[in-house]
Amino acid sequence: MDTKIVRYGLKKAFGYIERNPEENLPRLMDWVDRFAPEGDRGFPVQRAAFRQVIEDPDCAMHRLMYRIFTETDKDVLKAVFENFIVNGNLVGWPRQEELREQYGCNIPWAILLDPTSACNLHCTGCWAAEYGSRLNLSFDEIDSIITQGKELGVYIYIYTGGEPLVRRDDLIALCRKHSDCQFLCFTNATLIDEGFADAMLSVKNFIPAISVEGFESATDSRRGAGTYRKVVDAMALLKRKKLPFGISSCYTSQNFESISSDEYFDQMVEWGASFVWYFHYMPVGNAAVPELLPTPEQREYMYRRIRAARREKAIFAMDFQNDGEFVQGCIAGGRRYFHINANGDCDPCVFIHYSNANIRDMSLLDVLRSPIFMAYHDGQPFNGNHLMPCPMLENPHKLQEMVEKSGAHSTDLESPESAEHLCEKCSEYARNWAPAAERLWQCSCREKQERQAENNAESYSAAV
Amino acid sequence: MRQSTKEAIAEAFEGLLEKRSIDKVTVKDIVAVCGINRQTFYYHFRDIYDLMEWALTKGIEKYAGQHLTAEQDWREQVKLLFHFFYLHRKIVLHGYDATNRMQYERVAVKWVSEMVGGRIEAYPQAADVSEEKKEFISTVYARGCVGFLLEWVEEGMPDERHVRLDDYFVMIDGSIGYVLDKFVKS
Repeated sequence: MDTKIVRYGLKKAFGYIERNPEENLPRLMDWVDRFAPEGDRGFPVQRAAFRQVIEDPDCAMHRLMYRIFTETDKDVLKAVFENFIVNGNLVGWPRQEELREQYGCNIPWAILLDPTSACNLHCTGCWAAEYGSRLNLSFDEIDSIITQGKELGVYIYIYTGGEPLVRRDDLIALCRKHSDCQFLCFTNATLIDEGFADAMLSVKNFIPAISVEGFESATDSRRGAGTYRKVVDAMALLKRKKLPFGISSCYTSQNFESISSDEYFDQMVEWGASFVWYFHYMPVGNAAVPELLPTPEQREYMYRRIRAARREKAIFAMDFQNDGEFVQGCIAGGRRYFHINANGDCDPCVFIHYSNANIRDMSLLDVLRSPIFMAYHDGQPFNGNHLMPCPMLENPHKLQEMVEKSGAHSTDLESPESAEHLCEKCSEYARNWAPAAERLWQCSCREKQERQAENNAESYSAAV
Repeated sequence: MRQSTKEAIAEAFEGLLEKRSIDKVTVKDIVAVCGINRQTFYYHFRDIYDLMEWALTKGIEKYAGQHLTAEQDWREQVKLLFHFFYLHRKIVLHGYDATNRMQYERVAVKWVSEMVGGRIEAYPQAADVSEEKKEFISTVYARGCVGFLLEWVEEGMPDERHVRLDDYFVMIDGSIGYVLDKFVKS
C-alpha cells in the first residue's frame, strides 16, 4: 500500500472528523478497515474493539475518545494519528514482520532510550539515580538510533532516564527532524513550562507521561516538598494548551491502594490525562528493597482494580505487569521494545540491566542479534501463563540462565549487581505469586472462552 | 535588535544558495556558516526544505512590508510577487528543484489568493456568498496564476514581461462578478 495514498486519505478523513466527531468517527473507521492489511497483520481484533468503542456512547472508552477529540489540539491529534497509528502500526508493523522473518531475530515496535542520566530531582528508591549524572546520548547518537530504527519500521520512541527534559531543546530538535515518528517521554514534569509547551505544540509529536506518586503527601515525601504542586501546575498548563499527556505510576506494597482508588482515577481524569501507565515495583539494583514488592493479594487487587477502571473510567489504564495476556507475555528483548541507557548500553528491558551490546559499537540490527537479545528471542514467552511474563520477577531462574549463557554483563555503572543477587530477591515473590496467577489465569481463560462462544452464537444467529 | 537564530540560519542558507544549488547545500554547511551546532538547526527547522519555505515566506512578507500600500490595486500586489521573485532570481533558481516545487507553490498560492480574496470582497455580492465558496474562488484563480509563475521559473526566469499577467488580469476581473452571482446563497 502506497504510503502517499494513505496520507492523502488520512487528511481527508481528519477533515470529516473535525467537523463532527460523533458522526464521522465511524466513517474514519470504515476507511481504516478498508486499507488495513489482510489477516493478522491488519490488527482485526484491535479494530473490532475500536469499532465497538466508537459505536457505544455509554462505554468509558467512548467517553475518553470524545474527550480526546474535543480537548486536544487538532494538529497534534492529526500528527498522533498519522505517526502512532499509521506509521507506528499500519506502515511499521508489516515492515517489522518482514524483517523478523528475514533475520530470524526480534524487531521492536518501540525503542526506549535515556537521553541523559541526569535528573533535577532526587527521589527515594529511583533506579535512575544509580547511573549518576554525567552520562548522555548525544544528539547525533539519538538521531542515528532513530534513523536506523525507521529503516527497521520503528516509529515509536520513548524517553526514559534520568529526567529526559534536562535535554529538552535536543528532544524538540529530534521531534522536528523526525516528524514522522511519535515520541513519548517519562518525566517528572517539573521542567514543563510555557515555552516548552509551545515548542510541543509546534512539533506536535511529543507526548509526556508524567510520574505521579498519588496525592500530595505521597508524592512530596518521595520526590521532595513542593513537587506535587509543580506537577499539578504542569498538567494544568498542558490541559490549557490542549496538549495530550498521560500519567505513569509505580505501585508498591505501600501505595497500591491510594493510586488505584476511585478518587485517584477521577482526579487523573480531571487533570486531563488520557492514559495511565502502571508499573509494578521492581527490586532492581543492589540498594533496592524487596519489602516494597506487592504481596500476591496486593497484586491481585491491582489486577482487579485496573480492569474495573477500564470499564468505568474515561482514562486508558495499562498495567505493565498484569497485561501480558494482550501481548502474549514478555515484550522485552526487542520483541516489542528494548532499552538503550545513557551510556549507549542496550538492555533487553528497562528493568533488566544486562547486555553484550552497545549502540556506540554496533548497528541497531546487530544489537538485536546480540547474544542476550537472541536468548530472549528464543526463550519467549517465558511462561505459558501471561500473568507470569517476566524472566526476572516471576521466572527468576530464566534470567539467570540467559545471563550466564549469553555472557552478558551488568550495565549498572554505579553498582553492578549480579544476576544471582537480583534473581534471589525475586524467587520468594515468584513462588508466592504462582498459585494466584494460576487461578486468575484460568478465570481469564474461561471468560475468554465464554466470550468466544457468545460471539460464535451471535454470528451464527446473524447468519441464520 | 538582536537577530533571531531562525533569521541567522535563513541568512546563511541564502548566502550559500547564491553560490550553489539547493541539492549541494547541506545542514552541515549551514551550521558551519552561522557557527551553531546541528541540533540547533533542527530545533528550528525539520529539514532544508522546511527552512526554504520559511525563508521564502519571510522574504516575501518583508518585501511586501516595504512595498505594499493600501491604495495599491490588486494587480500591482500580484505583480509585486513576480518582482520579488525576479529580484531574487539567483536564489530562487538555485533553490528550485523537483522536490520543493510544492513549497514554492504553497507560498505563492497563499499570497495570490489573499490578493484575489481582497478583490472579491470589493464586490457588493460578496456579502451574500459563503466563506467556503469565496475561498474556493480565490484558490482557483491563485492556482492559475501560480502555474504561470512556476512555469516562468522553470524557463529560467527571463524578463518577467514574458508572463502574460495583463491578459490574466483581464480574464479574472471580468469573471469574478459572474461567479459570485452564481454562488450567491439562495
